Amino acid sequence: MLPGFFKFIYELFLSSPQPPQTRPVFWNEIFPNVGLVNIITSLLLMFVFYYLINHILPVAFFRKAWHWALFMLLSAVIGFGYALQYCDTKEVEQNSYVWSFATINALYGALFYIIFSFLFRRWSRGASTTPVRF
Amino acid sequence: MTHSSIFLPMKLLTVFACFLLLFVSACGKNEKTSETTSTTSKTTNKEKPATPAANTNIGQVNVFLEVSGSMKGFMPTNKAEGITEFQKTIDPFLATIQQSNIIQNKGYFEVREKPYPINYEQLSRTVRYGIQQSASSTTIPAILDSIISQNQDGVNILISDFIYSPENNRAVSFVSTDIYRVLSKAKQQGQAVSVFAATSDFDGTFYPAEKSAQRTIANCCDTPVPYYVWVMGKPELVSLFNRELVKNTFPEQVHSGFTFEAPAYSVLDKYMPAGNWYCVAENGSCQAITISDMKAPVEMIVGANFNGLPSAFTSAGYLKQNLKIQAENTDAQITNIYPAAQFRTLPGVSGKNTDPLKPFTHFIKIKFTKLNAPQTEMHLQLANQRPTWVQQWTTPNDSQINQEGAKTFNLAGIMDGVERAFGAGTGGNIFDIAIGLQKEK
Repeated sequence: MLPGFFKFIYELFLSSPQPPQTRPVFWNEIFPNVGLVNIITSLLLMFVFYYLINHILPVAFFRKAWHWALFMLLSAVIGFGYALQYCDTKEVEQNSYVWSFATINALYGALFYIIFSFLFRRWSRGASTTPVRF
Repeated sequence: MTHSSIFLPMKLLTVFACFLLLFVSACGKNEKTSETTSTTSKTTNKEKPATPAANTNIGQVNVFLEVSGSMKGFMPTNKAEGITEFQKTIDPFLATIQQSNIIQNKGYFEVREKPYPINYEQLSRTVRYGIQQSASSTTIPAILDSIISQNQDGVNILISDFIYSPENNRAVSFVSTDIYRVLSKAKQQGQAVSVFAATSDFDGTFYPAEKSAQRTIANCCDTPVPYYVWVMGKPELVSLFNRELVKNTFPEQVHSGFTFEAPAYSVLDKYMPAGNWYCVAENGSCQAITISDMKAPVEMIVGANFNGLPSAFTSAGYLKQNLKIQAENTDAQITNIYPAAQFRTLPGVSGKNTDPLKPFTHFIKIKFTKLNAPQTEMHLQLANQRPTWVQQWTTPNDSQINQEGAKTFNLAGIMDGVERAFGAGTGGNIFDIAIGLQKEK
């Protein structure tokens, strides 16, 4: 189920893994593991921004939209780096497919962060309206 | 009253819970015991095929050296200069047997009209300083017969020139049948035969089997003369003996009566792949692949471990001629066979992590451009063919040996008999390994 889901979301934007011989490792290991780590990281970053900084700690000056965007960028960067590094540990050669996979993973890192932000921001004491009020 | 009425259901509940616990634990125990038994049965199953490989010693090895007049040329008493190739090869070979600690008991025999037991020192003296008293010739089938009947659980080695000289000269024509009859007995006893062959310079009287022109050729020979070492016994013991003690002592060999374990193999998808396919991995080895499409020809490397096979079967020439691919609904063919060392130097390999190559001794490159069925199996088969040297070393007439060169009278006929006895020869495969092919759904 999980591998199928991640295979689906990555191959929305990517072709089947190249070279073809790497397909089993991508489908069964890289996509699910990198995708799961990506979701956990973005959830964690959302939690740090809305609940650690702007709820538990009395920090009042870190709730602007660009502060939020900084965390989004961080999620994307972590997603990119982790994807590259994980492919390396699985001995997949760094070809153009790996780079585009890392890029797509970065975009998903940002997207998951955005989704989690709008899902969970309302209970944050200090930043329930970051990045925009509506 | 109130207390008891409250506690009664509680007690019932605890009793019930206790029963439940007991039941569950009992069930658990049962499961555990059944698990352990199943694992033990598994391990015993696994051990069974491993036992022949685990054989690390041989109970009894008997060495038979023919000392008839025809062998005297290999072991001359007064050679003009140096020693013969035969002496150079056989003396250290016998010493290796004598010193080997994988053999518990060693017996040595001189074959005259029948085998006579002697000790290692005496045999070594004969090999080194020549046959003092040559025996009258014995026929090969008779020698083989007496050897095969004794020491059936050990390994027997016969060193001879295998020139067949029966009392009745016309029997020469029936050598194939005679050998077949003797070796059929060996086959029934579950024995196998490895024949090793070499040539040596010859300094003495040559006794041709074909006595039409002259009965003996004195002061022979200008060209080398072949001699043979037959290793007979249970297949696993003979394999062990060949692997540990014969090694590459003799240039040529042929084997009959063995069944060889299928070699370990795997498709290696990381090295020089072409086309749209990928491995269906299972337990770390890949023995089936999925093909996404056939827009481009499929090329793959299969690694195989041929260490369990005699070296005669794994030489580049033999593999090239006899390693065949069978795959219905495809046009699969073997485009190349690389020994491990050569494979590691290829451009698509040398820069990569070579750890996955370690278990394999040979790498086979396979290519196909079509697959006409949703799935099929590709079979790699190594045919058991009579080596070409047998045909080259045989002669129908050895009465002019100086012109014939290094040949043995009717060697092909002798080998016919061996092959008939063991049902080997053409048709049989040394191994048959399969790679599954399926189209992506």
